Amino acid sequence: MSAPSVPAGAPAPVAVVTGASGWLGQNLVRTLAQSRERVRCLVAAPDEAPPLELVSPTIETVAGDVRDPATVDRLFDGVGADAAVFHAAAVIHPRRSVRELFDVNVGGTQLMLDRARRGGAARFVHVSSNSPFGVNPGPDDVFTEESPYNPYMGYGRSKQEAEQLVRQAHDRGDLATVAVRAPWFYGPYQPPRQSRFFTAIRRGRFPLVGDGTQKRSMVYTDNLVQGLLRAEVSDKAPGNAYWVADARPYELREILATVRRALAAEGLAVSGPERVPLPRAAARAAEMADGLLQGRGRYSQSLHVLGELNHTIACDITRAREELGYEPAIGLEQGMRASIRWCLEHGERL
Amino acid sequence: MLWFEREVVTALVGSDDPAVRSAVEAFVDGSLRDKPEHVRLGVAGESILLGGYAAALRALGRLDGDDALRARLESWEGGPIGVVRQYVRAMKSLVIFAENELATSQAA
Amino acid sequence: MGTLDTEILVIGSGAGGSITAARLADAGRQVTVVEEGPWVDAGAHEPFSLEEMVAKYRHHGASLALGNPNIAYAEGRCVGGSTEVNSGLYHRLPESLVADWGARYAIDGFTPAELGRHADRVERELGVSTLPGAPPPSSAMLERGATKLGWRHVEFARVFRYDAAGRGTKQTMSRTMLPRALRTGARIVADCRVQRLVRDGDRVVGARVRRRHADGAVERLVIRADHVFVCAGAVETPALLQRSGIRRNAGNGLKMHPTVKIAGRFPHPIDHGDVPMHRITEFAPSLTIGGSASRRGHIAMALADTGLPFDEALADWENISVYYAAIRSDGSGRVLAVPGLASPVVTYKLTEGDLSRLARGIVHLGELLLAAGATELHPSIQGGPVVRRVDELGAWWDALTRSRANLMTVHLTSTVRMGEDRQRTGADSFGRVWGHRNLRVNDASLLPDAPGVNPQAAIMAIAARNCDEFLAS
Repeated sequence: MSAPSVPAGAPAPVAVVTGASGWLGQNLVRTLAQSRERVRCLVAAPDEAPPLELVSPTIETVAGDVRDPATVDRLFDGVGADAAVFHAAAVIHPRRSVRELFDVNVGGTQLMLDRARRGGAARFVHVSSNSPFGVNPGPDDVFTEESPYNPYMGYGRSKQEAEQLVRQAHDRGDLATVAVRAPWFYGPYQPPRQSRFFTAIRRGRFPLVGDGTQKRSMVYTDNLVQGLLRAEVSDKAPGNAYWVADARPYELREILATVRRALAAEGLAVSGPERVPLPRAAARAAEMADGLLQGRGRYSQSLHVLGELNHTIACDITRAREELGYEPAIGLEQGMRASIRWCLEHGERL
Repeated sequence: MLWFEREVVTALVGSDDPAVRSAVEAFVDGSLRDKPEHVRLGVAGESILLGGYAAALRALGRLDGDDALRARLESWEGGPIGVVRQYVRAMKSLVIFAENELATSQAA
Repeated sequence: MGTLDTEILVIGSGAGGSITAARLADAGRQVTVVEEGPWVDAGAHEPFSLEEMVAKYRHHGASLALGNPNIAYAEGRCVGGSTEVNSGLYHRLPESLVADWGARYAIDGFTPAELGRHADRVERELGVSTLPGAPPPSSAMLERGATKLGWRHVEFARVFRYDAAGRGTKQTMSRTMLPRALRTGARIVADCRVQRLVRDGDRVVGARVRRRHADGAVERLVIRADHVFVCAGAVETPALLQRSGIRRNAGNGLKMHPTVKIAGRFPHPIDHGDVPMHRITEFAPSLTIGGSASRRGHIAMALADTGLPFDEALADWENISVYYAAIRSDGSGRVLAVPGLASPVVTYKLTEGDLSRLARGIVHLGELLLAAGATELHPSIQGGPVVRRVDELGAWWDALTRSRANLMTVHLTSTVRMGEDRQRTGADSFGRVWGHRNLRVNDASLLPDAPGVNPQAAIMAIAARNCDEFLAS
């Protein structure tokens, strides 16, 4: 990591992390464990605790629901003042209904903000998303910190409401909060859906909507972790929200081509056509169906993802560079190769 | 007030005091009359349907007396059909409010 | 058919109508107020009692907004309107909302300074005050819990005047603005329901009414007026406009504060008179927490809400008080007058975010009451569970569903919104109904959204402001 060139404080000796056994959480906790005295982690289920505890003796776990007051009480019990809180717990693809999105993403965030305030936390770093901002009007447009809210469906509205609670906590003088807006992740500890993504590309079965010039910002997990750590210490950060992503957005056709190269470079057989063209109309139909279902409180992950593939969702990281001292170290091909290697090392079949 | 509504009130009122019972019935009667027409119609429709069902059960000897009706109402209140749950809850609320308010004013 | 002539006809005698009558009569105009409900002496019945439900409320206090789930609400129906039956809690429209509404709906001259001027005068005339002494235990519980949790809380003022002995009297419209209007020449006709307005092109020439006399006889009348102010409340105002053929943005966009409740059992006796005046503002604007009417009848109803056995708790009713969590809702509803039906059909649609907010509200309310020392919490959720410890609260997230939530509200607004944005409003910045020269609305219907606080203060300030503009033009 490059030496910070922005005014910053020291990292807190004690960190509290929610969503610790999630995709981002696993990466974040491993980094924190190396340098903090204690890392208090919230995991959803008791069986998620041992793998994390094995990583380092600095890791402590609490198992429970982030919506549950007693669980969040236990999470902060004995943590002491001036801890740094990293709130990554969220539902992106709900299993049962749209309601889950609000209960966890808004309700859980509210409880965390309340307990962090009462515990005298030094900083509260909130993991947010591009979803409250919708999609860009064209492939060359990027979201900045001035972009207005324009939430994309239920997840977008829930993350918007969460961001507003986070900002309100700062504006009222309760907590030094920062929101970090992360787009599509990639990197180690990825969930099964990401492995399916790799498999589909390897077999030439991934649908490329339209001509593939629509752009997506992505963020390699190590880059995002670095961004969160900078948000923890930077003097300018409190009260603000920052876009944190790889150095530039990628065209969808570039993502497909790069992943294919990365798979081949890691020794996997790549077959089928490079792209399976899917007309924009099909993705539009998926998006409309997604909207209709969500209007009834229901959710279909495949429809949602397919609908999003039609759009440009890209952001500009200039502000994060200038105010957080954030500098993305890993690029797409290198990051994809690292992800693929991680999968192979962990017995994932691609 | 429909016949089944009167039966429901009788089954739900806890007190044995006839003055209390008739005062509760009068309040429920007045409330039902005073409801918006479309809501009153809905309640009346349910009273007819549920009343018919209760009458059939009674004919089969499966619903004997106020206690049995009260138990049946309680099972409907916890049952799967939303409008039935709401019907029982609405009738119960009226009776419970009236009976408890009358108890207070009597004590006063 | 008999006729009655007047210069200004005010329909409805609630917060909006009474202010309108008082201001206009005071300015020397000839005012006739018609009120559907009866004159009931303000002190005739105990607040929130069964007798009061029968005498002063529409539908015996059991009105219903249909939806998934239904939402129960109540409206006053008597001279003085809902001010005769409300808690009396008074809170000015928050400045952030004044700015927000003024911008979003393009309301001319809608500033905190403007509204503040009118609120100042209303408050001087009515008498607005916090408690002279210590709060009653039911309210103190809110303060106690909030202090323990470090949550922001405040004591709301009320429209109450206190005598030398510290006894308070709620300053309802029938005790304040209506006598003022009568003294300056206004006429009030009670038991008189307006069937519909009579129009002639873009002018309203009067109203057809049915007046019930003391002997039960019903008289049909036409009241002819130069100007008409409709102040019948967020449900009856748009219903009347629709019955009179005025439909544009009249009745849509209904807003309310959907509310969940908990009956909290304490290990000590608690009072059952006044509605608590403390409010938890920690989660404002999305959530507010306060106390509700807790007479024995209300406690019994609240305990019965779970459908679980409650006899043991009811025997202990003197130690129980009912509290609520109310949300700002993203959803909205509709009032629809149906030909042939006297009552309009009211519907309301809650969003998934609203349901989640309600669940969050009941969980936080639960935390608060346990922190205040409550030993048992009975939620307004069919099937419960009844909660006794903090680690049991989490179950309410999944328990509060559309099919199991028992919801209510007491504040309804926004069915004839004010502002220059004609696409979204039914009346202009001062309540003039679009497309009509001499027809105004001057009640809760005008508020662009539910204000997150008791709306009577906002309604009165806005009504007074609109009267000023009427008198000046």
